[in-house]
Amino acid sequence: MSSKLIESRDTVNKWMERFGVRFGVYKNGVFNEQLFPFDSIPRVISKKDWDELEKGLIQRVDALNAFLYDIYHEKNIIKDGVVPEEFVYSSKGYMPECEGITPTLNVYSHISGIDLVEGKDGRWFILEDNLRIPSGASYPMIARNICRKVAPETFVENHIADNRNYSEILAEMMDEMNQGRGINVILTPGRYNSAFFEHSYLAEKTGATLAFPGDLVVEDDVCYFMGMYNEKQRVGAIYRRVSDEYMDPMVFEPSSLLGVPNLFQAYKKGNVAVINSWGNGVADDKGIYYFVPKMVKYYLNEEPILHNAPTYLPYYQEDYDYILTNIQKLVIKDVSEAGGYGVVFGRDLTPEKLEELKNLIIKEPRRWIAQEVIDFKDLEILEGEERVERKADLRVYVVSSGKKTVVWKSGLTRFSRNPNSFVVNSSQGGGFKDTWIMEE
Amino acid sequence: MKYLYSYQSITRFAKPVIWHTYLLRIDPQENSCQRLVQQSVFLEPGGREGTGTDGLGNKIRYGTVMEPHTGFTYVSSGIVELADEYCIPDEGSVAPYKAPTTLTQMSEDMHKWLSRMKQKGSALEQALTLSHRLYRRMKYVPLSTQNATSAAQAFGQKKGVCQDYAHILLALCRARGLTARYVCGLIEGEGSTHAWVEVYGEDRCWHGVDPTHDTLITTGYIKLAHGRDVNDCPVNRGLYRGYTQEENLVRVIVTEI
Repeated sequence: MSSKLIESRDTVNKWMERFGVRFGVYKNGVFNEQLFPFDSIPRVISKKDWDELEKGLIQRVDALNAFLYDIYHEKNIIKDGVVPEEFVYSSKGYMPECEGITPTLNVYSHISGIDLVEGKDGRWFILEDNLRIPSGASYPMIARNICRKVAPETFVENHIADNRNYSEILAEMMDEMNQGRGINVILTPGRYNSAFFEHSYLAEKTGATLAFPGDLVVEDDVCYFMGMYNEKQRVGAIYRRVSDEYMDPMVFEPSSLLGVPNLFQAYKKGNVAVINSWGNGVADDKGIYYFVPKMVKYYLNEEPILHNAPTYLPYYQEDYDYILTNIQKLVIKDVSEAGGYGVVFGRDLTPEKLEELKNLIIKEPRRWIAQEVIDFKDLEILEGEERVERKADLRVYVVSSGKKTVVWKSGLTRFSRNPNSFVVNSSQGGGFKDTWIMEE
Repeated sequence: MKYLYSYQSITRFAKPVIWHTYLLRIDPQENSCQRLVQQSVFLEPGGREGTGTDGLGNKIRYGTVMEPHTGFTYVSSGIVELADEYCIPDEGSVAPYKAPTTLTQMSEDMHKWLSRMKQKGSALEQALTLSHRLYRRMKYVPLSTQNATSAAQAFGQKKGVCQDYAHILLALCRARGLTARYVCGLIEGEGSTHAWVEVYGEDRCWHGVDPTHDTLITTGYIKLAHGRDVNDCPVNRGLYRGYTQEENLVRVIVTEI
């Protein structure tokens, strides 16, 4: 590994600052932009590991897309008793408005951000699937570009997969979804969105038009982009970075000013592709996660290659008994959004609190899932000039266009700067690393 | 029996507005106990209009008026034939109507109140008992709640309008494991839209219960749309650009003919 690259951490961070690579955070009602600290020691994934991950991710995303189509159409997976109906219909992500609608080429999740962790024993586990608007791809894109500039020899000496093709993968998928109906746009909520940098960067890189709320209008079930002089250009595909609820105030959240009124009708008529489609939340719900390996088997008739973190649903008697006896070593997650319990580690609770939680589980078993605590593999980071070990995860981007599903040979490795924290969220002061996928 | 209905809405803007988008649910549903004999609908200014159904099977009309305008008027009127009994067969998936929604969450008070009541009888009988008890608790007070008032809030303050009665009954029914949905429609003598509840029975039919009047619905209720709660099926929704005051007047007439 190149020491020159590792020594150039501060240079890379300086360049990123110059390029405006940042994310916005709301704190106490005030919008602040923060830099996302880059750590120059890359995470390295061997070709052998990657090949396995790639196969498993394609399989998983294909199954999730098949599930979404099934849920909004025939619902065979429910009829066949593989997924109980209450898990589907009580999910906040299930949108009855989407019933019977077929998106362009049947694709629901065009861009999937799958979060994984590597265990100490080298086994990978899926933490969660993000099928709505996963963000973060621009960080590894731009970080790699800068690394190539500051330490070019590193990328000659090491056989690292070139990751500069993400914009091509995206553009190709958008064109496929567009079907020649018009222009491609990336719809951003605006410059006060935490990922605005990424929206503008991806628009620039893919050649799509960056659209703000109010630039798009729907007439006769067709979506148009209104130019500077109100000239209209038909839109064939919208890569939107606005969430489902805010995308059409006529059908969803009525107070939304971020959406496009009546876009849902244009989408329903098949006149525009919406990337990602509406209603995907039902497939990346915490309660549905448990069933994803079963979906692989059900829709593809294949053995799932990748594993979930061992998960228990108190809904099933066997799991219920297990959870109540082993609660102190499990992590318990509240799947109901309104709950507010979030994620709790049994080992952190006092005996009284533990009893309290048990009673809640007994009262509303459907509301909870429990998981074994995974012993993550720590990654080295530079803290000052010292190498220290920290928790890290990996988000991998999977792009589906109906004809094919591709895994981008890169990813976002996020780490926690706090030595005692398992939370690697960027808004909590964590940083990120480049992820090297080795070619041999 | 046949009913003449008319739903009129007149909106006036103090200053012209542009880019006005709307989505309306002003067409009576057609089902085995409700037949549309004649109908006419018009909108002024007309603009471009599309029709279709929403994900729950309700008829919708939507469109955009781009040009400046100072008023928006629409009328849906016609003759509807209603059966003597309110009983709508449904062999489809009714599971979406089992789970609570944001507006129909149960509060601790509601759980307590519910636990004091015995659970017996068919789905419809249970819903009627709940409606009966609810009617005695609540007071109908116009303007005492808002569009976004939840079932729990209205239950707590013991007053509300038809929308709140319907939301509370929905929450209670679903907490009892019943399948129930929100209905918006027109009845005689109300002057505005009305809301009631449909309960899915063991006979695989939807039955109507009107908690505001504490009755089992038989006839005389013209159904426009249904949903999990009011957010799924508002009669009208609109958005425009302009800085102005607006004034809206709704008239509803329903008469047996």
